[in-house]
Amino acid sequence: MKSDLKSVFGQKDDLHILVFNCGSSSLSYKIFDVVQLKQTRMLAHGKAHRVGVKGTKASFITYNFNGRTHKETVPIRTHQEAAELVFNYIRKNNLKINLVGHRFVHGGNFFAKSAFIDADTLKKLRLCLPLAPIHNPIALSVIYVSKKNLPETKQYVAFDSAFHSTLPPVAYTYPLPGAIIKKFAYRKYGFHGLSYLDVMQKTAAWLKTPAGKLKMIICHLGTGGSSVAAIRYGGSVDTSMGYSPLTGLIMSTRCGDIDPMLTIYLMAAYGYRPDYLLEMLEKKSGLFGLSGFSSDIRDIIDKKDEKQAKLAFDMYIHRLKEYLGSYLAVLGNIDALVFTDDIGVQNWLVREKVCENMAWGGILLDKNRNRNASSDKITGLNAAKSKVKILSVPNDEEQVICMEGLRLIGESA
Amino acid sequence: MILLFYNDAFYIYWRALRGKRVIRGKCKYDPAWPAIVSASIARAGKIEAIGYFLHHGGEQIKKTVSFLTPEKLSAVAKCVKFLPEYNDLTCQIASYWLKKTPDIPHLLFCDTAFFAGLPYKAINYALPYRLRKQGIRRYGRYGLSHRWISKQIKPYVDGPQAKIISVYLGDHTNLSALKGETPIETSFGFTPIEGILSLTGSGSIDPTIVFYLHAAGISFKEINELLSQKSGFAALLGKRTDLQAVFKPGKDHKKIAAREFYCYNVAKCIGSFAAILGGIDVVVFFCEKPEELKNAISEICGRFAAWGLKYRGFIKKENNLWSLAEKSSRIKVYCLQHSKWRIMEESIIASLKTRRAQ
Repeated sequence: MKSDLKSVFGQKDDLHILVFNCGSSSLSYKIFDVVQLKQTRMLAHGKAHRVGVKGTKASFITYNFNGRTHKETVPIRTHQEAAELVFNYIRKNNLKINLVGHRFVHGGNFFAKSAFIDADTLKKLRLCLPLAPIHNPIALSVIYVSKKNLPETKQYVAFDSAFHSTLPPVAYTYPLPGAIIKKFAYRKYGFHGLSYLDVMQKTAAWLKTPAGKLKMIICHLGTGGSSVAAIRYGGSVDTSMGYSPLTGLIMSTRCGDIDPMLTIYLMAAYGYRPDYLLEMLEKKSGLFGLSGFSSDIRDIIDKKDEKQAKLAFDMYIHRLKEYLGSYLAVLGNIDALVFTDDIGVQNWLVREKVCENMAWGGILLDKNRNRNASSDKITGLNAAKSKVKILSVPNDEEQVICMEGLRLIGESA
Repeated sequence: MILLFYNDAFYIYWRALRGKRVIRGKCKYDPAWPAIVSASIARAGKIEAIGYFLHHGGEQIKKTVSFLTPEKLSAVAKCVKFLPEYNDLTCQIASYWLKKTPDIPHLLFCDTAFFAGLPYKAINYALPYRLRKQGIRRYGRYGLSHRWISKQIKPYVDGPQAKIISVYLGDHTNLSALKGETPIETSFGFTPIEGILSLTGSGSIDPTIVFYLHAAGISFKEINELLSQKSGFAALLGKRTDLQAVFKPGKDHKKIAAREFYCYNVAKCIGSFAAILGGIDVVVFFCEKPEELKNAISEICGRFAAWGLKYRGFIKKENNLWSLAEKSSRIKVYCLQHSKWRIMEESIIASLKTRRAQ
């Protein structure tokens, strides 16, 4: 199989896949060495943190290669700058890259699955930009940086909306007039699909039960965007993000759910310009808007004694609990409550507060286990008598993207 | 005779109550309205008190029922900006009668006041804080009704810590979470569009859609109309109807889908309130015509079987309260027939009694 893969590229050496994953305030990258079609080995990895964050702490990037970890504290204003740092590192270490994969949040109606990047794909990706105005443009900018640095190397995109294609009409419908729905295709898409797929599979493996027999709620709590998904028997049945990634939970700079009429009111009665208002909802609201000083929940927890920071933290938990309750109602009962992504696996206080007073739903946290949980491996956090398993599961979206690349190669061979 | 007023943006409705006799009136708003009202109540006797229904009390009015004076009316006028089409008209009606009958008690029923004291975390949007200072927050509505429910249900619940969810099923379905008699959450937001879909209102949708529609050349006025007048059940069914008609048994596939969508969203809201209450002791449904919404109530309750809700149905009635769950049910379920006119009438009579006693 190894030789088959390589024949596609005419490579004699190893096959290396570089995967980029843009969060709204981070850029993760991983380089995989493909051993076999379904077996990969991570060769190098790292992450640029606090990219473009308005906070009190400095941005930095990490590099992990050959067992060495290296951290560089450097101003990183854009995702392009972060990607350039990665390519510099690749050149410095003489790493060969044969394929580049990118995560793309919103493929709209243009993409039902992953695709190689050619002129036609690029054109469609550009049409998708306004669908996820924070994520799509930064992902596209990293695609351009990659093309500039590796002009001869094939690239592909994997989409975040695909996992939620199983949503039932009750979950995806917006009750707007038929003509409007028909013309603009408004519906709930949902995001973080690559993470949900990965975490669902890992949870099933950990519980030694096929995903097809499990009901679970996964909280994907990131440093930028966050969402929750209700998953029944292997498929997503509801999720907190909507047509765009703006809605649902309170996020670092995104407002999450608000009264849709409020936007009209602010424009009509207060004279907000539409582009200014949308930018405010996306980039100046959420934890940043509430606290007034940081978009990072870790900064906010540090200053929890201050009134605005406390309000931001309380609202973050309040909203998340409301989604947890509503998805419990959707699923009836659940086998597992899973926390993932940076905040989900690292922040014990968020998990403790979310699970507080949830015994009625069969959710009982072991506070000690929760406080001492490792953030880099799957950990059970529930008390022994909890009906629901509570897990912290590190996600690996890059691994899923890498697999999508191998699938594409397989299809095109 | 007690005179009660209720208005929307276009119509004035009134009731003149004298013992068991009721005069009902309705007229379109135009400068001749005082003459029309006066003519309709001419033979109902002397006016003893007048009540006005204020849809939106903004941040100024924090009492659900209060005596209205000319000074207080100026505070009411300040709330007009939040719901100008409705509040402006209410102010005009009150102003007219305050001048015409200055010596009798005037009562103001404020529909947002019950939720004025919601916890900060429930009131706020995650927007820049300066907007909060401009009054951008969640207000809730139907406070008069949810407050009434909290008092009606009191004998059936376990003290001030009881976890209660009150569910109004009707043209503007909405829910509130109550700890005893204290509200801690509402499904309505800054406007009643947020939350569950209504007959013609969209309910919560992704707000970015507003921006995309505007970018596509649709004006704010049209978008406003689209979300508030042309969406909800009207959009799902392709025609305007009421909730009772949606739940009339039948095999119309659009209606079946609409029922499912509605019950799904009400159930989700109940679930979310359960999470912030720390469980549910009691769910109270209330509507104008409970018997016509039995299907909706049984469908919604059925979704909580896994939570230990054992639904029995409309069998046992005590006074005006149906008890809908089995004795062994972990969650108690009640249903009350509701009329905002009756609530206004009852509380105006109670207020007059207290006033006389003082």
